[in-house]
Amino acid sequence: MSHPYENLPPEAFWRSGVADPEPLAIRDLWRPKFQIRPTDAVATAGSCFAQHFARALAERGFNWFEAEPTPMGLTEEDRRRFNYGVFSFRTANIYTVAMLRQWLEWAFEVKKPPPEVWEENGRVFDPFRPTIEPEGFASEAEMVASRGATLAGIRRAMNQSAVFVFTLGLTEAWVHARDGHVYAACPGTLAGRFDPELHVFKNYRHAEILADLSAVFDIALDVKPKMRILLTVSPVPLTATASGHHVLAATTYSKSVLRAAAGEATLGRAYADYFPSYELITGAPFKARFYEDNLRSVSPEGVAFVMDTFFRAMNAGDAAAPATPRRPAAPAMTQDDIVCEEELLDQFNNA
Amino acid sequence: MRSFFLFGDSHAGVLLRTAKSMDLDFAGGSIMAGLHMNDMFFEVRDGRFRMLTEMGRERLATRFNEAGLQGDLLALDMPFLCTLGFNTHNFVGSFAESNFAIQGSKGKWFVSSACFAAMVSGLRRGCFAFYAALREAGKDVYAVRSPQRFDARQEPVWKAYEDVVVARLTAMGVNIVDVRSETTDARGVLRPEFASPESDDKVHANADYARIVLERFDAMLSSSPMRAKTPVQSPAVV
Repeated sequence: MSHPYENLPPEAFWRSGVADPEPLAIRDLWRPKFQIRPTDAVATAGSCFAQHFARALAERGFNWFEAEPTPMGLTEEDRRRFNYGVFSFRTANIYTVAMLRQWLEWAFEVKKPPPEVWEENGRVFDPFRPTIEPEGFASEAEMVASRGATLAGIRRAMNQSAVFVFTLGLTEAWVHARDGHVYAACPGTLAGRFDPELHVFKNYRHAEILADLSAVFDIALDVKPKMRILLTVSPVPLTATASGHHVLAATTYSKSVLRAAAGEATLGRAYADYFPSYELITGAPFKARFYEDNLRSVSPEGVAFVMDTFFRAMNAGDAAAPATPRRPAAPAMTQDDIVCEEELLDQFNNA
Repeated sequence: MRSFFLFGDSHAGVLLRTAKSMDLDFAGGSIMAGLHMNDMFFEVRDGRFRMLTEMGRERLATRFNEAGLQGDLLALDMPFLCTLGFNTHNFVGSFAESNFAIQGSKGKWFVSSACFAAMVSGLRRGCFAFYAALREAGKDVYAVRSPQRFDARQEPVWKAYEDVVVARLTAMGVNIVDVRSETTDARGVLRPEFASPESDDKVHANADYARIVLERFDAMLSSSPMRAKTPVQSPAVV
């Protein structure tokens, strides 16, 4: 009697799909729902790992959308200090889906940003992107103007991009107890002052993340009905957890929930897809080979493996041989090149 | 011994002509257009100054020959009067064309004041390196602000740019020759009577302006602890 398992392809079975092949020769891990052509404008946002996507797209001749261009004359060091060319718009890292939703709702005037500013030693910091300016802003007016430019950049990116790639990073966040707005980092860590009456810990649940993703999709498609959305989950573990659990267990919770939400959000939606960055780094066949000695940072080899898989699926020619880059080739990104505010939490580790 | 060495861009042209008309004892002049000196245009190797381009080497050699000077620029025992870095019109034009904006100006891409300062530093790194080289060689250095010929729409960027340049130079110990109080109107723009008489010149100043600059420079030299004994030698300004 015939049954469905008789005609499944080799990759449907663990032995032939995972155990037998050389790990780096594992193929067909991703069958994209839609193709991204090199001419398609692609906007990127998300956690630290999303920076690899942006960089790789630009280097391989794809049309990475930079809504806030790097000011003329900035040295490479200053470009990084001021967070230009890192994401499509200068929000800095967006670790949670709730934060992404918040930025989009502000950009498209569903809601207004709260009038909150953080002042320190005569400088002004944006509570929602406290590291965007290395020394803070000269004044509140400057901070508001700069954030306004970023909100305009978000609008341009969503209006003009064919594809939006978002890398989900964390479930943990800090929110305002009364107004509910989400912070980029716990107040008092990178800037600002922690107030236990005002700042509360939030570990987002699957249903909440799914609802936020749904709201994000609605805004994106309302702006551009033909927008395609690609979700990935960062394979980078948590630097620290405020959940009360061991950081390993907290990481597993966080990544599992994000992975499940990303998968579920893309089910039945032709315009939304999930790209398995997470599996390509954390999967059992790779035996943690793509992690640096700190078991957290992803090595250049790991990044290349992920991006090669992506470009191969996009039929972008020989994945190892970049097409004509739109920007000059730069050395492979090291951990030092990645702008990662969450990693700064390790400075509070007393061990 | 010459009283000072003029090392400048096109703004040095009127200073050169006016200094000559005043019979000042000086060397140098306009070396190259400002845009040729924005990026690194020289190197100091084994303590010797060398222009990086053939044109630069020729121009500087010509200035040395005209004044009968020999040796290395950094070995000259005289103060330096410079206009480098104050090709403000050039920066402001590029900034506006690129659609960047700062607080108070119009444009698509807003940059913070700190980022703006970093932009200026990057775009004028040759100028700043030149001033730093002179100061490291122990020279008494004076820099002349631009003539302030701008229209009102450019004011925030113009002033922010010069604020950054002046702050950087002052921190190096460069003296700023600032004649704005005598030559500009209530808005801070160069008064028409000090503008270049050339109808197609919207950037430079005239000889009357240059004379005021040179007189101010002479006064500053006279009070300089480094050069108090050798003020500019001219009956017209002494």
